[in-house]
Amino acid sequence: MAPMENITYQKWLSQFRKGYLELCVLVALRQRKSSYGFELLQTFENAGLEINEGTLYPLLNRMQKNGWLTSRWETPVDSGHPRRFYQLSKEGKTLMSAMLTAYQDHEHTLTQLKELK
Amino acid sequence: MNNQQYMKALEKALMGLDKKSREEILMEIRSHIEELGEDQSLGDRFGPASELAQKYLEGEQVVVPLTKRAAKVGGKIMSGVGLTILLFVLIVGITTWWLSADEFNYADENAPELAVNSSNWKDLPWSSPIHINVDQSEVVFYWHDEQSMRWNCKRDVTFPEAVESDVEQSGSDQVDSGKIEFRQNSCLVFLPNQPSVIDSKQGGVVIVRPIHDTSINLDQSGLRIAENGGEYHYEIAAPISKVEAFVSNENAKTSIVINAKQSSVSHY
Repeated sequence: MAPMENITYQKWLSQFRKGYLELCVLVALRQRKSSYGFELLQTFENAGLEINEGTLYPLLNRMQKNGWLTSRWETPVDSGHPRRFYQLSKEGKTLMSAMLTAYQDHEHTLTQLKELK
Repeated sequence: MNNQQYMKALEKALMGLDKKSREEILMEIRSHIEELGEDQSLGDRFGPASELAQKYLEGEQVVVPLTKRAAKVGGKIMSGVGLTILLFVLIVGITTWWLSADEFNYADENAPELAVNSSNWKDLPWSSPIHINVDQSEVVFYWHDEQSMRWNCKRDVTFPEAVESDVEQSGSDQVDSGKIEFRQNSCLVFLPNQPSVIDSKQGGVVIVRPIHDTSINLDQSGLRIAENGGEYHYEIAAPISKVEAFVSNENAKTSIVINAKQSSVSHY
C-alpha cells in the first residue's frame, strides 16, 4: 500500500502538519511583521509549502483565539476592500521562539539518529 | 452552488459561533475572493461549506439556541431517569440472582454438603434400573458405585406403587424395580450404577458425571449437565427448547438421551 493511501500515515501526517503549520505561520509573521491570508498563502507557496485556503483561514482564526496572534482590519488605498492583517502577539513571539528551539532540537536528534552506525 | 449560496450555507453552519466571530470569518472570506477575482469558486478554493465551518468550530464554545438547550436539559433529565431505572433493575436482578443462587457448587463431588455422615441422608438398597419422576422440584443427581440410592431432601420422598412398602419396612430391603418421585421438593440424590430414566415436569435438574446410561425426558424443565471430565454419547431431541452444544463421543461408554419439550439444556 502506498503511504498516501495508508490511513495511519495520513493520521500521522495530519497531526504532524498541524503543529508544523502553526510554526510556519508564526515564523512567516515574524519575518513580515504583519500579513493577511492571501499574502501568507503566496508566501507559503513560494517557500514550497502546500496549504489551501480551507486550512489556512481556520488556522489563523484559531491561533488568534489562542492569543498567539492579533488582527486588525485595514483597507489599503490600492485594493479598495478590507483585509485582515495578522501580527504576532507577545505570547505568540515567546511561543514561536520556544517552538522553533524545540523543532530544531528534534531535527538535530533526528539527524544524529540517521547518522547512527 | 454559487459563491453567494456558499456564503449563506457557511453563515448557517457557523450559527453556533458568536455574531462578531461569525461576521469576521465571512468578511475575511469575502476579502479573499476579491483578491482572487469574482470568477473563482469558493467551493473549489475552500472545500464544502459544512467542512469549512467544522474547522472553524473545532474547539470553540458553541452557543446553543435556547430551544436546543431546553431539549438538552430535558434529555439529561430523561437519561437520569433512565439511569435510575436501570440501576433499580440491576439491583433487583443482582438480589434475585443472589437469593436464587446455588447453595454450593453442585459440580463439586467432594463438597462437604455431600458427606455421607450427615443424618439428613436417607439410604435405600437398589440394584435395578431406576425410574425417577421430578415434579416441580429442584434435584441434583450424582452417581456412585454402590448398589443403593441415597438422598437428602427438604421434604419426604414418595415411592409410588409397591416400592413404598419396602422402604417403610426397614429401609434396607433390596428393591428390584420401581419409581421414586420428587414432588415440590429440593434434593441431592446419589443414584446406583444402574440405567436410569428421569422424567421432569416443570423441574430443575442437574446431573453430575453420570456413570451409567441415562435417559432424561424434560417437559417445561431445565437441565444442567456437569460432565466433570466424563465423555458421553449424546442423543438430544429438543423441539421448542434451548439447547447448548455438547460434544458427543460415539465411542463413549455412557450415553445420555435427552428428549426435551419447551425446556432448556445447558452446561453446569
